[in-house]
Amino acid sequence: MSARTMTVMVDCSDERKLVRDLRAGRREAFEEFLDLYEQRVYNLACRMVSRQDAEDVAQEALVEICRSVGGFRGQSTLSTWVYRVATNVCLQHRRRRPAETVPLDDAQSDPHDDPSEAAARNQTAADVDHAVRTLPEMYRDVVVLHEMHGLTYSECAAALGCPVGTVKSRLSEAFRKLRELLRDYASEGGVAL
Amino acid sequence: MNCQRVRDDIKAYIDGELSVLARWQVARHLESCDACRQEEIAMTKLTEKLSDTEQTPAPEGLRDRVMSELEFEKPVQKARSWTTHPAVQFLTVGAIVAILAAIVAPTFYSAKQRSSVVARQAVLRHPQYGGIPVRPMSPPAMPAEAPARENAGESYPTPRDEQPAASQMPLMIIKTAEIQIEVKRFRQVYDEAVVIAGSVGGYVTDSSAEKMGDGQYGTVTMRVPANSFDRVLDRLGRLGKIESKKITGEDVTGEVVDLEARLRNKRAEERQYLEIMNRAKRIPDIMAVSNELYRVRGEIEEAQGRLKYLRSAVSMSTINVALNEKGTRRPDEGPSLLNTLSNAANSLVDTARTLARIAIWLIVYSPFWAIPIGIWVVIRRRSAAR
Repeated sequence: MSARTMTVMVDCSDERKLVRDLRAGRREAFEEFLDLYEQRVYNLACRMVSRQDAEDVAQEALVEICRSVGGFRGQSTLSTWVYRVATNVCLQHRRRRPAETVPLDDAQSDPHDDPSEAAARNQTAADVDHAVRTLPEMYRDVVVLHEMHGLTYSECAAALGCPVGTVKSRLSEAFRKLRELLRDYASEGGVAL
Repeated sequence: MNCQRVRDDIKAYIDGELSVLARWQVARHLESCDACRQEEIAMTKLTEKLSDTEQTPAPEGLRDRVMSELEFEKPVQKARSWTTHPAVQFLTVGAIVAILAAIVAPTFYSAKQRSSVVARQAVLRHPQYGGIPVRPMSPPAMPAEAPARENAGESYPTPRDEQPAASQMPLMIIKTAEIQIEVKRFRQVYDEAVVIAGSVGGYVTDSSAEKMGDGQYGTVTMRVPANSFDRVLDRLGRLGKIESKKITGEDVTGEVVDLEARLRNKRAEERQYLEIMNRAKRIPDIMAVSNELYRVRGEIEEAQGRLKYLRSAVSMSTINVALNEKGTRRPDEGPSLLNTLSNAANSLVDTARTLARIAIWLIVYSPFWAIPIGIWVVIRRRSAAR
């Protein structure tokens, strides 16, 4: 599934019903919620923290979201609120762990990937993925939220707790850095962007 | 717009996160700058690449682990916000009732207030004062509505030119004076004060007269040209014995300078939008620019109105004259003890009557406040039951 299809349009009335059922503690509601958000939260964690910790962080985030659904007041969409909580959990995890450099193996190979599939994968996509993971954290976060999860600038600002202008300038700078990184890959034989 | 500024905005331009004006400026720059256009194409390709990034399926077992940590069929309490707190809701209802009472209470005049209003009106209507124009201060001009765009081919009307701001601003002071004079003959001095105002090109805006004991007490509020302010005060002072005199000046130079600067900026902004409007071809763009033009024109009218008011207030100073016939006890002087007792008793009776009237009005208007309170109580009970 690509990032574009991850932006699921949930009808407002369905969303309100889901929230009501989650608050009522219905098992089916939690199952439905995980159908919608499990993969999104996991992919967010994969990109914001290291691959080894992504599964644990995703679990922590999903549990936190489900337990704190009582605090959702409906002032934003459920999706925006889910991303805000999940981003917060990822940032807290990062603060607890020392800053890590992205090892080459971690960026280029997915532990869930079949080696034969990795070989067949488009090299440009791998280069782009690696370039994103080598960005400094504050640039990587906005790229992941906006480009890969489809959040608007104001939704990114709400999730990261910073002004919209900061999101705009970080995205601009992140793209400048990505183009430089990818130019380097192009000169080493990859495909230029 | 220079290339560096445009390149800072290209990403937001691609994402559709720029304002109408900024988007137009970037688009216009891209039409003429090859380097920036190449940058935009490259950024667009990279954006598409990033949004097409493959997503990894969640690992097996994650869902089960999450579900195992949750408790089901146990309702999660909705977090109470401060607006649902009972004390806040009670205070809100109380505030609504108090506002209703404040709206209806001023309709009840005491006998004393009624008599002074009647006296004021009688003075204003008296033909003796008909030679001196009695008119209220002119309020600031209301902002005019911007004309609607009729069709796409027509140019938007350009704003009319106004005087440019002075490069060096002289001080602009709003002068106000309050003077209290003890006089021998109230009626005669009253007339002379009105004549003094008229003789320098000023006018009376308000006046009142009432009987106080054996004498009379009255006030005259006049507006006189600022350059005659001192002369008028001097002439008024010679009408009797000055008991008190207070002169204040409010320096509004800074505010005027700010308003003029704001006006210049807003007019420049309007001219840019007009330029965009003349080039716009699509209806959505035309509508978006029209909205911005209405907003800017409204802000220009507001600033112009405030500027006009300040200039008028600076050019015409205000003097409040209180005339007290000799031997009369002024309203602010303390009455005798017996009078105090009498006034207190009358005030108590008036207060009781006023409260009774308020209660009657509240009862008559009860459908307007009792029903919302009833609904609120029912909702509260249902929430508690849930």
